[in-house]
Amino acid sequence: MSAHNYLEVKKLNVSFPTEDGLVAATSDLTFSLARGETLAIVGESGSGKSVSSLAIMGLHNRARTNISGEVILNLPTGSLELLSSSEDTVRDLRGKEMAMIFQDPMSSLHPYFSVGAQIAEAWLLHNKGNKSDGLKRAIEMLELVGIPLPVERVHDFPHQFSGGMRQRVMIAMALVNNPSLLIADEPTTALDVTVQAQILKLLRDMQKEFNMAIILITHDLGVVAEFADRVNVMYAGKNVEEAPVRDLYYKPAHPYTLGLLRSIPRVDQIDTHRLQTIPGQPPSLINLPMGCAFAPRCPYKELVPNNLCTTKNPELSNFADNHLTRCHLTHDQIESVR
Amino acid sequence: MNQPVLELKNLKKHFISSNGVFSRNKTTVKAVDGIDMTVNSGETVGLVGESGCGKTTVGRTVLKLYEPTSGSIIFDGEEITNFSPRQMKPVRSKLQMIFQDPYSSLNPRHTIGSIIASSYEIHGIHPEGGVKKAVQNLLDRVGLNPEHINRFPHEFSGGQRQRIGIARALALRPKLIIADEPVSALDVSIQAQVVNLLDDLQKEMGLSYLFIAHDLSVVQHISDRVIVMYLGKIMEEAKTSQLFLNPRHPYTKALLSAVPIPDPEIERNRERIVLSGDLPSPANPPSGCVFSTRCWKATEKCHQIAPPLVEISIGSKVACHFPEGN
Repeated sequence: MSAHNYLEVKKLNVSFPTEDGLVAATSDLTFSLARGETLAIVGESGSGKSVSSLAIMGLHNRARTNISGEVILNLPTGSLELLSSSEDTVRDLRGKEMAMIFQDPMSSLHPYFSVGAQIAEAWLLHNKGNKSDGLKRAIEMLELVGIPLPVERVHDFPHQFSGGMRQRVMIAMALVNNPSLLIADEPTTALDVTVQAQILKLLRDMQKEFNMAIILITHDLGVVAEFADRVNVMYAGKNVEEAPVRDLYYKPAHPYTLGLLRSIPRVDQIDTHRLQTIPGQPPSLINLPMGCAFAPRCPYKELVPNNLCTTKNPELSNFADNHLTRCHLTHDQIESVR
Repeated sequence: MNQPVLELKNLKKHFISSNGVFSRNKTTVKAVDGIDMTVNSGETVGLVGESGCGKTTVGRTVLKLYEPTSGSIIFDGEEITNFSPRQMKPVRSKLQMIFQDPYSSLNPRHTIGSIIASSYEIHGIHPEGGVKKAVQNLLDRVGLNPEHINRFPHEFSGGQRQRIGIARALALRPKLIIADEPVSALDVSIQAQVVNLLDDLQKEMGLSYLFIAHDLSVVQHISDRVIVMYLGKIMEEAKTSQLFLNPRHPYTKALLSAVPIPDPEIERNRERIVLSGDLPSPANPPSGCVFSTRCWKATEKCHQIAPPLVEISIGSKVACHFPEGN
């Protein structure tokens, strides 16, 4: 991968020991990301998309989580591997180099403090200045994210804002230190579509302004089509396909991606036939089955000889230029079922 | 097909809240403010709008979980507006609901068998072949293993729980099911399974659905007709294909343009109307047309006079002074 990559994730594994056994939330996740670029991580609940991003941010409790692999930030001062760095080093980077916004802006903001105080706190943590400098910076940020009357509203509390406005406040807080990487975990899932459109536009404007790398975690393939440059599809903790956004939609290479794309109705086409479905449900992450995790739901596993799909886990391999897939089907077989 | 199962006439539901214990001022939230609609036998009507538009309140008022403020509800040829809870009981066996959250709508301490069987108990119905047999048939019908009758809700996934909720709603062979966001808590691949199940059951049992949802793509797939609400009022009503391909109300147009299309080429090249601002508070709706504060076409007239919902072509109604398209 190119030397311009800002973030490199290599063979990331995250698992949680529980009473019922080891939960392999993420396994063997590899990807990289340049500044100014947006990578979407798509998957259903339990596919490991949030767990991976929390691992990148260093937000898992190290004592209770098994994490292995590498997360490398290529900073101007040199490369830094985060998983082996001290918690203090990671804490220093968090909020300054990399920031995160979450799905539910109400529970991510503190209800007892004004939004201005919370944004100022994030700024003061990494910059020299006093409270009034922080507040001034908060007003600038609120203005930047499109909150009307920022000078007055900086003193308001989270409950005085609507859902969309709260998400803007979250974005202001995340961007206050001009981070190079923003992880947005389902940032618009709790919002109405008209407000979602506003927030996505804001994120795009902010990306241009700060030349940020964005990891967008979502389950909405519409949002991905609109927003992402590249897409990483996850299933049962593994990335099963990675491709530039157009290739993923027009030349999907993994049966799971294919199934997902076929099962969603669209507003621009009137369909009266039945929806195509993926039969069954995602597997439990404890004691994953031998072989490919998608095999029990895959309609094409008969095409592969020797029951390979249910006995051997496929490796992530090249399907085309910049297009990876984790599947035993041959290139021609994939083209024929598409 | 064209016999109405449900008719709402000028239905209003206003909530009154006081501004504190000692305050004499009361705020009236007009959650549903005078709507007319019909659901015909065997038909699916989609009810869409943003959060706070009153769509859930409509569903709950029809079930008389809320007392309507005024207007009338006619279900299956019977005026039920002023029915007492006792009078409602037999009506509810024909009028069922499926809820959004399959986690909180099933009692965690009861087996799924007893959850579904309680419908029979409450209404004193003795199904042919016994209750257990009937419950197992229902489980089988919604795609669950009939042998799992003694399991508890936590042993099932979200999609399976939603199937249990559907089985419960079907137990008494209802005429109309009010489905309030029945698939929005489910994963994409599971959503399609449940939507297909609802489709099949409708064909098999001649059900009617009032399908309340904010996800317009699912509504497009499942509905015969769609009603768009905004701040307690109906903005537009039309056949599904007409509403999606040729929206007449500016709000419908904006709403549709805001839904991302899972196709990068189309998505990135289409014209998008980004509405400014948020939904106004229903406690203090704008004068005139309720949408006028966010509408790009609004004129002085719109701010002063509320446009009535009028039929502009067969089966297509719109509440706008300056409708789009033709």
